Amino acid sequence: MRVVDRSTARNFMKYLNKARSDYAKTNERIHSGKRFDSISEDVIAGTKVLRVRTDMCKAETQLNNIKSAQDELRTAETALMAINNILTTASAEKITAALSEEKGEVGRIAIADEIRAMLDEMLQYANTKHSSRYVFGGSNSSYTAPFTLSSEGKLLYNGIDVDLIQQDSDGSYYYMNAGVKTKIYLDTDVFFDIGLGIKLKGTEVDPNTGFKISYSGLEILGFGRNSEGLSNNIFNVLSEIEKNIRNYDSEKLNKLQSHFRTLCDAFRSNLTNIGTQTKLLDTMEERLNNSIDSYKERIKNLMGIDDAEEVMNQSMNEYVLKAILQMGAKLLPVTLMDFLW
Amino acid sequence: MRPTFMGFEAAKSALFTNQKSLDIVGNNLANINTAGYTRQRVERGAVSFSAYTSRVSSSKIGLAGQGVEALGVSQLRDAFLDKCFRDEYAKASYHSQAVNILSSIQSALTDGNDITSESGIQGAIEQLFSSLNQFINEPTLDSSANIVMSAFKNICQVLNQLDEKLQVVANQQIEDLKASVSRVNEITAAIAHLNEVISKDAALLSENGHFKPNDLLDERNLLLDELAAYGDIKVTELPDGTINVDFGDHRVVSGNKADALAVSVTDDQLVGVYWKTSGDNVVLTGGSILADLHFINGRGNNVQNSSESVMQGIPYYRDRLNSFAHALATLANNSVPEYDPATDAPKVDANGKIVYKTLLAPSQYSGSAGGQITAGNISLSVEWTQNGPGYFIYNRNEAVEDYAQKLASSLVDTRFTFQLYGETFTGTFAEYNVEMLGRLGADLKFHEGRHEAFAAVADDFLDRRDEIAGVSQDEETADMIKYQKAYEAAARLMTILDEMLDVLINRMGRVGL
Repeated sequence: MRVVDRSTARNFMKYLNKARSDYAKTNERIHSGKRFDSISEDVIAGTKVLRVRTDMCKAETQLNNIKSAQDELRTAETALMAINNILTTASAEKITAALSEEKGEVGRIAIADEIRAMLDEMLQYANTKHSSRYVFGGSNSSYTAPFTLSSEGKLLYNGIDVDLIQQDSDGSYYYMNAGVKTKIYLDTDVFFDIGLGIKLKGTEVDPNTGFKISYSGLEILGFGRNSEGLSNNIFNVLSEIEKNIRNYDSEKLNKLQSHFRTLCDAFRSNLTNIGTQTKLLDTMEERLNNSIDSYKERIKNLMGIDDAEEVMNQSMNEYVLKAILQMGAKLLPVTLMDFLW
Repeated sequence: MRPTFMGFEAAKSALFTNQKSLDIVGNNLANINTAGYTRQRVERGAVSFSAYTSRVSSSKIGLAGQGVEALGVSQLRDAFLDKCFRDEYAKASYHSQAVNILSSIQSALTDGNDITSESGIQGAIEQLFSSLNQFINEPTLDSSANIVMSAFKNICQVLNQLDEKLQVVANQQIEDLKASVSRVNEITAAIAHLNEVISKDAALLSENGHFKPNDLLDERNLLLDELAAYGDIKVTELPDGTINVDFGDHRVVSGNKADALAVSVTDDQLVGVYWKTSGDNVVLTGGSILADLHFINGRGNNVQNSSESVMQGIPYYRDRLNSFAHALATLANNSVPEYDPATDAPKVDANGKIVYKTLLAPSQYSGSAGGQITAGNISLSVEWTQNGPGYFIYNRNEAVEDYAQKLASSLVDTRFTFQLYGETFTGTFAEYNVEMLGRLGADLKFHEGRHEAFAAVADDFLDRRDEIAGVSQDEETADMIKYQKAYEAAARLMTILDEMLDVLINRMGRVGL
C-alpha cells in the first residue's frame, strides 16, 4: 500500500476534527446538563419528552384547579356551618321555648322576632359569593342573588317559588310554567378538571369525570312539598313556624317542629358531603403532586446527563485529542529527507 | 563499426533525461499540497537505432547503445477510481444537502430545535390549556376571558412565525440552488474550454498526441470532482484528449460545447431546474441539486402535481402547519355558542343548528380575508378584537364552562381528525405536533446516517486514488537520489569517453608521449 503525504494529512485532519468535535460536545453537555437539544439527536427520547411535557402541563393545571376548588369549598363550608348553627339554635332552643306555655304572648312574639332575624341571617349566608359566583346559586353569576323573597315572604330561587320546584329522574330541576316543564334559570352544574379524566357527554361534562364545584341552592335548602303538603324548604318551614308562633297554633307548630327537625338532619348531611369532597381533593392533590414529581424525574432521565459518566467521557476525549495532536507532531513532518542530510 | 563520437550521445542523453527527471521530481515536490495534483514522471525509452540498413552495410552491433530518450511526461492516475469516487461523492452530497435543508426546517420549527422550548407550538398549546382552565374557574369575568384571548393570540402568532420562518428557509435554499446552478454552468463552460485547449496542446506535445498537458488534465479532473457534488456525472474519454460529460441523463459537455442550466421559481416557492437548450427538466439520480429539488419541492403524501416531489420537504411542513391552523380555527369557531336571552339557550339558525361565535379568522392584513385559514394568516377574528375579550364569554350572568372544557380537552385529550390533501391524522393537537416533529427528526437522522456512510466510502476512494496519484515525499527523495546518481554516472561516463578519445586523438601513433 502506497502511503502519500496528502492522504496522511487529510486523514489526520479528519481524526483531529472528530476529536475536537467530540470534546466540544461533551463540554456542551456538561455545561447545559442536557444530553441533547434538538429532536433529531435522539428522536425517541425527544418525542417522549414532548409527551411527558403535555402530561405534566395537564397535571399542573389540574393541581391549580384543585387549589381553587379547595378555596371555594372552604367558603361553602363556612357558610353552611353558620346556617347549621342557626338551625340548631332555632330547633333546640327557640321553637321548644315557644311551644312551652310559660312564655306567654310577649315572650312568644320576642321569640318570633328572633326567628325572623335568624331567617334574615340565613338568607344572607345562602347568598354567599365566592369571587363572581354565588356558592349556593348553581351557575348564577349575575348581579341578582339566587335567593330572594316574594311579596308574601316565601323563598324564591332564581325567581321561582321553591315549593313549586320538582326534580327530574336525571337529577335536573324544573317547574311547571303554565303546563310547560321549564328548567330552572341559572342552575346548571359547574365542573372542574381535577384529573379524573374529564369527558363530555354531548355538550355537557360527564358528572363522573369532573369535580362538581357548584351547589344548587335547592339541594342545600330543599324544594317542593312533601306528601302532607308541607314545604320541604327549610327556610319556608322556619318562616311558617315563625308565623305560627305569632298566632300560636300549637297543633300546627308541633307538626312543623317535627318536620323541621327532619329537614335539619337532612341539612347536616351537606356538611358531611363537604368533608368527603375535601378529602377527595386532598387525595387528588397528593396524587397529582406525586405525578408531577415523577414526570420531572422522567424528563430528567430522558434528557439529563449522568454527571459522572459525562465527566469521564470528557477526560477521555481530552486525552484522545492530546494524543492525536502529539501523533500529528510526530507523523507529519517526518520524511526520508530528514534522515539524509 | 562504431561511430567514434557515438558514446557521447548516450552519455548526453542520459544527462539530459536525468536532469529532466530531476526537474519532474522537483515539480512533484513543489506540488505536493496542490489540490488535484497527480504525480508525474518522465517516460523513458531506450533509443532504437534506425532499421534502414539496405543502403549501407548493416552492422547492428556498431549502432547499438544510443542511449535513452525522454519520451514525455505522463501522470499516474486511475480513471476507474475517479469514477468510483465521483459516484459516491454525488450520493454523499445528496444526503449532505438533504441534512442541510432538513436542519434548517428543524431550526425554524422552534420545538424541533429545542424540545424544552416554551416558545414553540408545544408551549403555546400548554399556555392555551392553562388559560382555558383558569377561565373555567371564573367564566363570567372579562379578566379571565382576557387571559384566554392572550393565549389564542399567542398561538396564532407562533403559527404565523413558524410559517414565516419556513418561507425564509425556502428563500434561502432557493438562493443557494441558484448559486449552485451558476457554479455548475461555470464548471461546464470551463471544462469545455479545457477540452479545446487540451486537444490542441496534445497534438503539439507529442507526435501521436499520447502525452497531454498534465496540468490542464489535473484542472479538468478537479472541476469534474466538484461537478460530481452537484449531480451524478458520467465521463467518457475520447482519443483526441477531450471528454464528454453527462450530467444526469443529458450530455452537458461535448468537445468545446457546453450546455447550461437555468432555475425557475413559482409563486409558491417551488423550483424547477431545466436545460437552456432543450427546456427539459434536469433528471438526476444524486448530487446536491437533486436534494434541493426534492426538499424544496417536497410535499410528501400531499403531492398535488408533478412539479412537487414525494419527499417530506419545506412545502410538506408548511402544509402540516396549515392543517394545524385550520383545525384549530375549526375547533375554536365551533365552540362558543351565541347566547339567546329570549330562550336562555344557545341561538339556533333556520336549520336548527347552533350558531357559534367566530373566534379565529384570516388576518385582515393578509389579503386573504374571507379565504382559507393558513398558518400564515391565522389571527383573532375581527369580531373578537372589536368586541373585546368578553366576546369569549357565553353569558355574563351564568357560569357556563362546558364549551371551555371541550376546547381544553381537544387540545390534549380528545382525538381530532386533521385532514391534509393526502394524509389524515387522528389525535390531539399536542400529539399532532409531536408526530410532525418526530417525523422530521427521523428523516434528518436517516439522512445524517446515510451521509456519514457514503462520505466514509467516498473518503476511502479518495485514499485509494491518492495511493496511485498522490506524491510521496519519501518516494520522491529516493527518486531524487536515484536520478542524481544516474546523472553522476553519466557524467563519469563522459569523462571516461573523453579520456579514451584523448588517447585516440592525441597519443595514438606518437611514440614516447
